[in-house]
Amino acid sequence: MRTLALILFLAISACTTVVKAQQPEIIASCDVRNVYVGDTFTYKVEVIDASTTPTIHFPSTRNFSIVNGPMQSSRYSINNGVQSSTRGVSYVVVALEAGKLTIPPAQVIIKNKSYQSNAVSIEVLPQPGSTTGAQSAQSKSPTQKNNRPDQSSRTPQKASPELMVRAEPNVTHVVVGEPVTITYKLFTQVRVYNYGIDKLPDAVGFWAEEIEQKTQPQLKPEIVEGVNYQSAVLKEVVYYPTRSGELTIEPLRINFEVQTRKQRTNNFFNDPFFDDVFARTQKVLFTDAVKLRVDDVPKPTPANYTGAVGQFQLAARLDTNVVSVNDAVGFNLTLQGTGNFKTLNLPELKLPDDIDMFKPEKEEKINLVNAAYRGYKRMTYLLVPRKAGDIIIPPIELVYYDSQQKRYRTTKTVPIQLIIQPVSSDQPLVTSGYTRKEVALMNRDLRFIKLQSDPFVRIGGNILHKSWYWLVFVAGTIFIIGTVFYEQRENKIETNQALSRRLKAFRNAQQLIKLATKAGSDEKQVYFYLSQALVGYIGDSLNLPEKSLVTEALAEAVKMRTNNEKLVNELHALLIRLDRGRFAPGADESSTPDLIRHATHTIQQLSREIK
Amino acid sequence: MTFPIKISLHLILFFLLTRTVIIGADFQELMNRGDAAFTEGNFQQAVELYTQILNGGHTSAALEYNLGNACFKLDQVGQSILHLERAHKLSPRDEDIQFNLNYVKLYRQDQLDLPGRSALVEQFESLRRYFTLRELALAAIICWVLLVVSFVIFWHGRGKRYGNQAFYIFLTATTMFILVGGWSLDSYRLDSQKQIVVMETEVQIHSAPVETSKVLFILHEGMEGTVKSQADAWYEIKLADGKTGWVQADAVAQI
Repeated sequence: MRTLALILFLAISACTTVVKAQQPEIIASCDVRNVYVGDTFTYKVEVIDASTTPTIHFPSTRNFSIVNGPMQSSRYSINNGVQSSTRGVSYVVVALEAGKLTIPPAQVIIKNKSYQSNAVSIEVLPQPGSTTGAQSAQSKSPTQKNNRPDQSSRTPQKASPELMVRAEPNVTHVVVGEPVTITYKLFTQVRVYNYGIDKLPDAVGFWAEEIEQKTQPQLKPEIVEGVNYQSAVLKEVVYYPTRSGELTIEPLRINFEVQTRKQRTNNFFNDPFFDDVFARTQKVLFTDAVKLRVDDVPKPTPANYTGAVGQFQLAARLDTNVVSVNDAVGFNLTLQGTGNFKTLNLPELKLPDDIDMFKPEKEEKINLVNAAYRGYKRMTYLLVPRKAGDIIIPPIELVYYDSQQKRYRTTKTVPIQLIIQPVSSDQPLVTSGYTRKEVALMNRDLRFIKLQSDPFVRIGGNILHKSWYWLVFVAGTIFIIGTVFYEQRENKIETNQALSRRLKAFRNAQQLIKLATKAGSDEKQVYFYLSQALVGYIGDSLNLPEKSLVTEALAEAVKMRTNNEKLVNELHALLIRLDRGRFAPGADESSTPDLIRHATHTIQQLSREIK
Repeated sequence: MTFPIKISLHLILFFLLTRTVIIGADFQELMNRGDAAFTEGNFQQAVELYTQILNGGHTSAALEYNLGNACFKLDQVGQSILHLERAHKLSPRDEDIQFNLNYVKLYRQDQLDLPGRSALVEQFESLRRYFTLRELALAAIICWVLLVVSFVIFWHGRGKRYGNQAFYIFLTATTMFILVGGWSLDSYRLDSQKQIVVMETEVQIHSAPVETSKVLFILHEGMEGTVKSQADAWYEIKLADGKTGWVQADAVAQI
């Protein structure tokens, strides 16, 4: 009996194992846990290890309605040598009622066998107050007729536009200074080639800052009110409200270039092979205007509140706590946290007069994390104490409005002690030039006229157009060339005896004749000078040696250089006359002036003949 | 050694001074009366007196500067910029002129978006205009005289001590002469570029020297440009930011 029971148990357990192995695993799931009424979500039924495509029937329920589907899907994978395949069906489903609802098990038929999936429960929340403003942008422009579905009717069956843009704020109720991030999104069912945004929309009462999109917009599938769209974030803008009230951010205008299908004609040549069946069309769309409720920070505001909204932490640090007089020390003031960093200034550092403070270096690192600015701002002061002693740097405070806890809070640094040691006396004291203030410029005006005139010049006068200017250069050039030639000639004369004598011959002769004229009455002297002049001239001109300067030799030498017989004879006669006159005065009857004239004439004749 | 150079320097200075003294005597009186009128706030009269000197064919940096100031007081921005630019050209290192020129330029309607230049280029450009053409030309001639004299001495005393010393002076003078001479030629080139100032309140810049051609852009009083070419009564001008176009010559004045 016991054995039987054991066998039976084994058999049953074996049996169930077999059955279990044969039974495919069926999983039903939703992509979200909770949705709003009217919003869509995806319901998926997957069969793991199914060899054939299962037939899946959507469970009949009154609370949900299928918007799109069924969409078949299958996955095949080999993992560690074990192959597995998953086949499934997905539906886009819309919840019609609020409450904690359950999607009953779906019926799955595999190879004529019926199975059931699990039931899926989902929480459906009632639709919150319209987040996008009720104001429709349709009245603003006739071109955006198809830009978005009517907000009031959320029936998924309604014909939806192919293309729409939406402005989605992350919050709609803020206090002054609290940033609101608006995401401008495109929803499209057609191909978009291009888009352009001319300018940010008007937003009175806001300070806007665009968040740079790091990449080109990426298309993602998204279902809006039961319709499949490709969506993309076109722009993200952070708006800081600067005043309270019901504020409106005007619609953003976006231009698109989209693909549209051309009307087919019966033209034979209008074959799709040869012609593009698609055309590019320009479309202009507007988003809704975004209405935000901006509250003032609660009154009364603390006295030293400067408009900081968020959560902050202030910290201060000294490089070193012990420093000598005139040595520099760094002081860091860091504000860390989340909030409206961009419009925020760090509190100022107030120090005793004995410490010189230089203009701080600013450093900031602020990132946008989950539509909020998070990071730090830091100021590094350089402090130079000028007097010894202990100083307490007082706590620095920042009052901010905590947007989460909805109350004012204060963050403050701890007091920091700075010990300033006296400096040894031999070190020169550096007096600071930095505490002096610059001469403040009260007003600007023209400088006064000049009462002392500089010399007047001719209008249009140009020194380069003056002839004297260029004459200086010409004169200089001539001077240089002249010098070179003159020096060369001088050189030549110095090195050439014959030339030197010849060049001097006439001058020497002239001088002697002059002496002869002076010695007018003294006949002997006259003869002597004239003889010297004539002999010297011929000797120098012909470069004759001293010993050959005798009458016969001279006449012979001249005779060799000229064929003027008459001149040679005359010269010969004159020389003899002169010789005779010198040694036997009174022998010659002609007068001395005649003789001088005769000698001069002869020399002139000679200079013409023998040169 | 420096004796002949001194003489030439003195000669040049004497030459220049005697000229200016003779001319100056005629106009100093008008200038003083103009300054007095300006000081009293009678700007119109000051402008008239100053203009008389200009009509007499003479000018000076102080005259152009004072006239520019008077024109500005009379709200004639174009005239003011014209005369201050002329004053700047005559005396490029005068801080007052530079200050007032920059100040008056703030009052023109057109603002050009100029590409930023590096500090080095900026420095070089200002150095280039640091001396007037006249100063450079005179420096060149002094260098030239020094060059000639030192050459003569060197050539005469070749191989001797003083000759060798003169050779170094000659080399220095030659280098200086080439540098200063090149600089003066550059300055001459800069000076001969025709600069204009818009004189009318608003002037249309055309694409061609024809009245009926397309209007490219509009300039307002006081805007400056460089003349690229000329055709009849039209100038082809180029602005500092590179825009070019044709303007009627009577709407502008040459600096």
